[in-house]
Amino acid sequence: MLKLNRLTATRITSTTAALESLAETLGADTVVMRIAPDEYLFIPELAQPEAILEFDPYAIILQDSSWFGGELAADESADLLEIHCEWEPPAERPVFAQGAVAEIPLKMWFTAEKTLFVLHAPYAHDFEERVS
Amino acid sequence: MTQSSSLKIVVDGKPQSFSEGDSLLIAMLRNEAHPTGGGTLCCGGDCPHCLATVDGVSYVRTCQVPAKPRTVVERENWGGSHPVLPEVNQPINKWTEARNRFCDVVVIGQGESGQAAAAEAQAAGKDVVTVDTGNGEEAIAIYAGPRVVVRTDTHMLTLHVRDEIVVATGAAEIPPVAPGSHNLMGLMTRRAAEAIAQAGIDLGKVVSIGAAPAGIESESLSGEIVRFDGADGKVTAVVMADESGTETTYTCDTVALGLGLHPRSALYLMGHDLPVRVVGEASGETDLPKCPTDGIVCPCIGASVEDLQYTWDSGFREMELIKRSTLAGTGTCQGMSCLPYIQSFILDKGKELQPRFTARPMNRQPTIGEIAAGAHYRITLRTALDGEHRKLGAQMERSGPWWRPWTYGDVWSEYWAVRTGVSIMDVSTLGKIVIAGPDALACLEKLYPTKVATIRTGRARYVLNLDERGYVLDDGLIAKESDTRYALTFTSSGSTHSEMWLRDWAHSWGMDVRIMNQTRSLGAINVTGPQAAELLRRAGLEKMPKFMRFVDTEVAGVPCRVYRLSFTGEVSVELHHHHKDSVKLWRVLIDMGQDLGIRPHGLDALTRLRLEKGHIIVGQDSDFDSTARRIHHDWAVKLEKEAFIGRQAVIRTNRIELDKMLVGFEMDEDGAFEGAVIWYEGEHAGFVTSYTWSPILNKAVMLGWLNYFDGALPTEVTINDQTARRVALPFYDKEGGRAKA
Repeated sequence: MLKLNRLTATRITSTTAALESLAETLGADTVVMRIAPDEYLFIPELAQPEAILEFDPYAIILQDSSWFGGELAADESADLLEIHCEWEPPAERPVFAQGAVAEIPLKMWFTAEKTLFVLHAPYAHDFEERVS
Repeated sequence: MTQSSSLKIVVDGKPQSFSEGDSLLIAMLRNEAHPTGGGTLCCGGDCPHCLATVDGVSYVRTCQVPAKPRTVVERENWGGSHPVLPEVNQPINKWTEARNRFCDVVVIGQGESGQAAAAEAQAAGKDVVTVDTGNGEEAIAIYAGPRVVVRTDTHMLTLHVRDEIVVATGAAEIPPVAPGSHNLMGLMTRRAAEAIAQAGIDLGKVVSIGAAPAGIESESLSGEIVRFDGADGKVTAVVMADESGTETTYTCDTVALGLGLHPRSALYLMGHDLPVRVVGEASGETDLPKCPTDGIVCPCIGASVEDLQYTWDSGFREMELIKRSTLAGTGTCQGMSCLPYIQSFILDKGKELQPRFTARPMNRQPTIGEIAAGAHYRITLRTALDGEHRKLGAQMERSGPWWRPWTYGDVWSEYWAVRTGVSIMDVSTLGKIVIAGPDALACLEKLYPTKVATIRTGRARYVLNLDERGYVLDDGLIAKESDTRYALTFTSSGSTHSEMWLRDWAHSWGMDVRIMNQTRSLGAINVTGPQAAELLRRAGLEKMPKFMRFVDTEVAGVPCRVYRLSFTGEVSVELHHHHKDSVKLWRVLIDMGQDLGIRPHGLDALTRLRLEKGHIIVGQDSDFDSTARRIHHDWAVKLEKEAFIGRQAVIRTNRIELDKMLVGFEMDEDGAFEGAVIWYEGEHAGFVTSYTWSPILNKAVMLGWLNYFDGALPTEVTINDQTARRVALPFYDKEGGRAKA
């Protein structure tokens, strides 16, 4: 069963070029989600998010504690999505996808072994209830 | 096939034995219990004559459901009445799960042509899903997507199709239409006779009309069916007429009817503009029967040949009109029994073959639980403090997209806490957006009707958002963080739309700005009341920022953006903070304020408090055509600015004589309400938008839209049979000293 916990995350709004430049400097232990054309979500939170300012001095940085997340093994996540997801998740791995699951906006990071489900805190209670 | 006494279903409360492999229909026939009391059985899921309530679910085609021990069958329409719908408020006791599957090709039906289509697609390397009623899967609808909705024994399955849907559902057998055809036992189609005989049920003396059933000894009859005769609900004879009209009666126990085929093409037709292909018998033409002369054409509804004739004579001569007039084809079988006869009738009368009526999803009757499978209420957002409110016993209400506390139980105690002590409120729902970039100022200057350039760093200003027509969209604050960065606030309901408004304009102007919506990321708590400063001092805020200024500092050990403003009319600050700190900050403030009489207030108290100050709520007090002038906010619109959204419209509308205004009223007695009509000298003069009894002013106060009469606003009006006086705003603390104390 999916159990959600508060995540530490950094959200940055900037130019695409600056965001991509910052992402290239990060190791594989940081999950990088491009959640909008001008916005990236980094999990866990970046130790030095101000590094973006080298690429874009106007970037908006938020150490954002309003995200909740939980992981499921690949087969468990496939079961959950079969019931609650009305769109086809991408097949490649690793891959990021976002859309409505159980009619709640969700962001997902798929790897071969597991899936990380991420959503905004205002939805967390209801999402957990709907998929449990 | 073995019949075991241990295998029993329950029919109308009585246990009945069945054999392995029996459908419920066969099991009932084995026990001489016809599901509906008569009518031509098809055993193919096409007719309405085997419907019964099975395990509490009405309209179940018993010929399609395998008999299982302890299955409960209720023959609700025994005797000819229709199945009874569940009580409207009856709780759904069977929750149905939804599942989704994505594939290249779906093949519906696994007869010969369906199997061939599936094999062909598989050979081409396609991911193929097959659906067949024989496996307990019933395709009931095709929708755009394309999607196929399938009902299974355990769940509703939606198949999302990448390439193609193949409909291979075969064809139904055409039943007879003649007196007795809809209500006598012993009538069955050719295939049904074969299936029932194969189950080992004795059919007695069988006569066959049209194609004879295989493997059954029967007397083959020729000519036209005149009627079916019966006794005790069972067929005893069929009367046939030869070409000369001479009638002959043939005694029998069973009549097997091979009258031709009618393609089961409804699924194909409901997806005709989608990548749907029909193959096999489902793609064939209907074997049009002879125009019926007497009897029930539509056994689901009970529409007769006489009804068709009446409709025709009344001038309804198109397929869709005849369907709507007689309701033939709108019943359980969706035209599978009656459609060929209606076509035949129209052809005979009008000399033109008309196409079948429209096929729409669904072509089967799902339960409420099946319809609701996978559906959810629209989500209502919860702030970080949602749990705290509920623990305090708050009555939660949906407000815009959020759950918000309406009251914690005693609105007047909440009110007085604000007016005389200190109170806190969860205002996390406020829209909070940051805009930064070299063009941030230029962008805001073009958006807002205020002079953004005159806002100094560390200060905030109340602003209106106007649309291109000069009407008020929303309101909020602009707070200047630096020359290239501003924090904006919006109403709780307006933040999502305002973000789009901001982004659309910034993009269309080619502004070099970054925009981040932080509404859901940051919490916000309003601390308000004469003792607010004392509470905040205890929490570590030694020096309150001046009115309409902000500071970044720690409160109770929590990093906060402290905005000094006021909506309640008392000293107020908003503490914007990280989401994770909301609960801590809330609890600390409540703990520290105990001896100050702190208690949180909800929306009910807030709307009364702000009304005393004459503050509007956009969307409640404003209307779709509210200009700043009409709501007394023209001071917030600086027409001397060169450009801002809505400027030209404001200039134009300002030239037009006012016809109504949002104004304040007071009354000596309580008794009006929001929405109350305002009367002036017997004429409708407007309506009340906000109302409260004001304990501190000892009178009723309200805002309302008031029409002009002869170029002037009335000074006295009647509201709910009481005299109300128009007064200047605000009602409370007219000098505004309390909020700025």
